[in-house]
Amino acid sequence: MIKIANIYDDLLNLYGDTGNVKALAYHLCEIGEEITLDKLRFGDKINFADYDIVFVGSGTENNLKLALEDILPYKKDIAAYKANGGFLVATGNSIELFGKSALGIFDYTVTYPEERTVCDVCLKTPLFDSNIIGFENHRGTLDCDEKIILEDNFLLTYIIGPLLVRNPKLTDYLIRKLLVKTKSSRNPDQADYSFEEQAYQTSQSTDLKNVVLSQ
Amino acid sequence: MKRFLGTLLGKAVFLAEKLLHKNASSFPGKAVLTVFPGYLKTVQYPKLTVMVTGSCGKGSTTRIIADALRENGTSVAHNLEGSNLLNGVASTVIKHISFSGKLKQESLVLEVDERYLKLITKYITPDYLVINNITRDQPPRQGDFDIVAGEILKGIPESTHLIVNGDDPVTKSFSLHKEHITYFGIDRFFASYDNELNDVRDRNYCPKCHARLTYSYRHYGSVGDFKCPNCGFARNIPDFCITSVNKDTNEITVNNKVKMTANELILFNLYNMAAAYAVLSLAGITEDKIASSLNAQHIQNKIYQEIVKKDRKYIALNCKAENNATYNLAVIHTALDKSPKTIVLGLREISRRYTFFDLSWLYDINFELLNDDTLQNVVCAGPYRFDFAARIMLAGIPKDKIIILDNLDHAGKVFEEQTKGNVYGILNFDYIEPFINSVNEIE
Repeated sequence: MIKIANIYDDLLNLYGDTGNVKALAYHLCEIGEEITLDKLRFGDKINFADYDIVFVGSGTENNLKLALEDILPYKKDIAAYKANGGFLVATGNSIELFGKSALGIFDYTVTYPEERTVCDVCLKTPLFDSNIIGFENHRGTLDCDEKIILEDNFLLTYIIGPLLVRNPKLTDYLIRKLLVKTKSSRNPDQADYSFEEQAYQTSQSTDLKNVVLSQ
Repeated sequence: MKRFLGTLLGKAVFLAEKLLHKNASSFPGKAVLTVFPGYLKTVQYPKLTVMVTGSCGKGSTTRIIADALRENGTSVAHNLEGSNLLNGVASTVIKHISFSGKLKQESLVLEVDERYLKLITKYITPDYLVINNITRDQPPRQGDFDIVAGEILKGIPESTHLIVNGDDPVTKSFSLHKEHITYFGIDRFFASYDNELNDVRDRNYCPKCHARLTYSYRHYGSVGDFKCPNCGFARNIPDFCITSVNKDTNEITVNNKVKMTANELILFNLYNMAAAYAVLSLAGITEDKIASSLNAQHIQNKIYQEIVKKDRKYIALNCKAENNATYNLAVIHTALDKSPKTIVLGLREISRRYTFFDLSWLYDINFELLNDDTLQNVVCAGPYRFDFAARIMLAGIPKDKIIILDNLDHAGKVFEEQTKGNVYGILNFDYIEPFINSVNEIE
């Protein structure tokens, strides 16, 4: 049994971020794993310790402010969740919630230049061989070099939307780690990523700027 | 003098374009504004100036308004679809201006790009500004709907009377900042739903006090009969409201009284008619004359086409890539058909403006709604066929229903031999023609 939470799904859902939850849930079910999925909203009590993986997505600046107001009291819970090996995937500007001037889980600070960052990205990570691809569309910017922040089992990135759909290797990686964490005997090799793989190949054939991430 | 020279220059560019058989609709405006940036300020505008802005349906709504005004004896200067930025608007003005600096027509009806409104209203003050809707649209260019709403707000002149969709909490929120507002809307009708559909909505929380909005019914996304349980911010009854829609006869009624026929009962079409009705009524045209002008036969529709081949219906639903609302309306429309059906998905270019690879908006479309036993097949075609196929699979639709095609060339044979039921093409506008062509090949 793998327990999934999508927090602020009705506030932070601006750029197809729900696709990540769909992809993980679909492929877990495909290999026979049981799942629960809770959508937790503004004002709901969030028991981080109850979950194996938490998703949070992009929002308008107004909505992000609302979410920040609601999530701030959970600072200690989130730090404990992280230290205990809980998984978290934050896409788009929700990365800003976890910075120094917000929850303070990470050390980066956010500034807001006039120009938005709007670009395709393609980058190396230490997780697997193939590059991670995606799209960024945000106003804030961080004072750190990493395009994807990986620490414990937290993954945070300004890449928006269906990151897991676009990168089936990442879904596969997360599923393997989650199966280990929950001591599940399901076989991750039974998941079929052929549509996502072929879509990945399509985007590889276009001219994506190659941003190399050194870690 | 500057105005005269500007007009002369603009007219000369128009003439030159005509002689050279060129048709760059925004170029004369660009030429004049380059030499005389303040040109538009010097023009004498007609008694009635209407602007229409928003994410979808600007072109259709301005066309309906312009046609109806003409039919009722008011001459109209009207910009062609697409020339809705500053240069295009300037071209329209130059085309219709006399050398005395006065617009020849009795009214000016302009479709205006939502991000350019503030640049255009710097020079031209509309009597009425229609805001059809503000949805997720072209995110790489627009950012998000809050940004667009903020930009529109900056462009509304003090004396302008607003006409906005009262069913949409995003457009309704202009009432928090502006006083002269008229609302249009649609009451509950056969395509409305009250169940908590698991769809993506733009606005779930009250723009005034941030409590979660409640709904007695919804038309799509966050559009419907909304109410804030905390502060009272609500839809209320719109001033111009389509109060009934007859599914069989296509007859619609405005304010329980005025009857007319809509050519298609697609929601955006109904909203465009309601918006046009509001403008025409405020402009002083009588109810019966408006009804007669808005009647079906007069309105050319681009959203919906239907062809019957061998007892099967082929329906093309024209959607805009990067705009989930247009797709969601097509999905809701398709789901109303409870007979066996096939859907066809495809697009050639994500955007005509830029080359970004961003299909994240596919996940804001509620394809889950189509996942039932009546759905026979899903054809995914074009360069992004695998992205569509992945999306459809993640909507829970069985993989064996999915048919992958490189493109829609000669797809008629595939529809005939490999699919069942009515065929709904839920397509980007650049895949409508290939779809229609392939259907027409069916003998």
